[in-house]
Amino acid sequence: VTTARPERQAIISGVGRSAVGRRLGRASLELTLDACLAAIDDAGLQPSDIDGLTTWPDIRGELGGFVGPSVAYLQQILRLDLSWHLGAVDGGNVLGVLGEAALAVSAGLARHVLVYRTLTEATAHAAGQPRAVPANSGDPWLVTYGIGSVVQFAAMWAQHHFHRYGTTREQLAWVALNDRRHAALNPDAIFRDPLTIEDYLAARMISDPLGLFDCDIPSDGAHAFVVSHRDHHRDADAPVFLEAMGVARPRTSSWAFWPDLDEMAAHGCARQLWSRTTLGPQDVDVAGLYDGFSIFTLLWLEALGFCGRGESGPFVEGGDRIGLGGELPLNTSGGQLSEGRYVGFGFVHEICQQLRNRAGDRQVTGAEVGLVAGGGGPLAQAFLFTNRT
Amino acid sequence: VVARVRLAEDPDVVLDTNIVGSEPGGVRIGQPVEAAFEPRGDIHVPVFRIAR
Repeated sequence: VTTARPERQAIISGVGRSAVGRRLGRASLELTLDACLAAIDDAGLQPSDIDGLTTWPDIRGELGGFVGPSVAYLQQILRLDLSWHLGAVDGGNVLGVLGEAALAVSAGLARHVLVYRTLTEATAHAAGQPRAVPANSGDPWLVTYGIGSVVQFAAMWAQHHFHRYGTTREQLAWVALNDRRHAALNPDAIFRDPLTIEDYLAARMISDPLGLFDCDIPSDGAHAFVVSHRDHHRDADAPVFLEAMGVARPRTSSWAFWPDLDEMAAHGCARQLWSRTTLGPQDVDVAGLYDGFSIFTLLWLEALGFCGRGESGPFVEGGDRIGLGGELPLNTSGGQLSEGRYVGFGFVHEICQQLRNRAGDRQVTGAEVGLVAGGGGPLAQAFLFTNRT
Repeated sequence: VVARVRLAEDPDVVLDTNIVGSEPGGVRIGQPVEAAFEPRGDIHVPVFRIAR
């Protein structure tokens, strides 16, 4: 183990987002270009300044709108001269490419890396394309047992938490209710109407104990970020500094046969993150914790030490701690349950805007330290950002 | 019922499988189960029922 923390040489110098929403009916490439050009402009750069390019997943095929343009294709369209590139294909990457980009600029392999992530799941599903998430089965062994969706695995983590710690649906609901009240303040969010605990409990059960409002919304939209060497920070309008990163994948990348439902990969990821900084959970002003299924947010809260093991249900109950003005404003964009499912990158966008004091009506006053956690189950990456040099 | 079963013979081994012979409301975490085999397509696969 080294004490070097090369990720601190990286900043996010520019942030871009295309139109986002449900069933936009727009081409994936068009959305991607909108987001990328906005991010490059926001960084105070020209496309010709970009010398690194990465996304995940970079795989052939549409996969029901889960995959955007490939790195090779986007390079041609933007006519980029690259000294570093990564088309990540690993099934568990999620936000990992952001860390790879930070290490590339830290190593001097590139100066400005464009990181993008495009989803057109809402439009693709409406057009009848089969839904496909790379992490899910197609595994004939699992299909034999009627297991065809990640929600069934997420439900097992929830069942375990309810059984072992006495967590209730009324407590878990606060992940969704808190998301929704924040979404009301976010013009980009898909679902902005008030959600009550009665609505939540009455919704269709998907995989017990997870109901409809515990599951995120297939969405359309592209996000892009310029990751630059910190030497560039004076030229960037509102740079965000990377303080520390964490990644973990214990034993398996599969959702199946997970050895210990008391933990997700998040727990090892959080240990690594906090080992790379002198900051701690008490220093975090705003957090975006992955809510592809609501139970993941509870487990991230515990993994990151915002509360003790098994205490996340009482921690979120009532919503005071996790609302704007609470001790930990959480998922201030509305999260994937209400803003839309951008597979982690929506949280990166939101935390950057919070640290740049550009979060509009949902701005956390004086936010200086922000945390993003991506993935659930066997997948985990986390990033700690600040707006201080 | 979709379930994760840990083998008493080797706690390192977990199986994602089905509990058969019980309604969803009748299955509880921690209940001992025993193996059974059911035809699924051309093969027989291991499933579990609540131990008697």
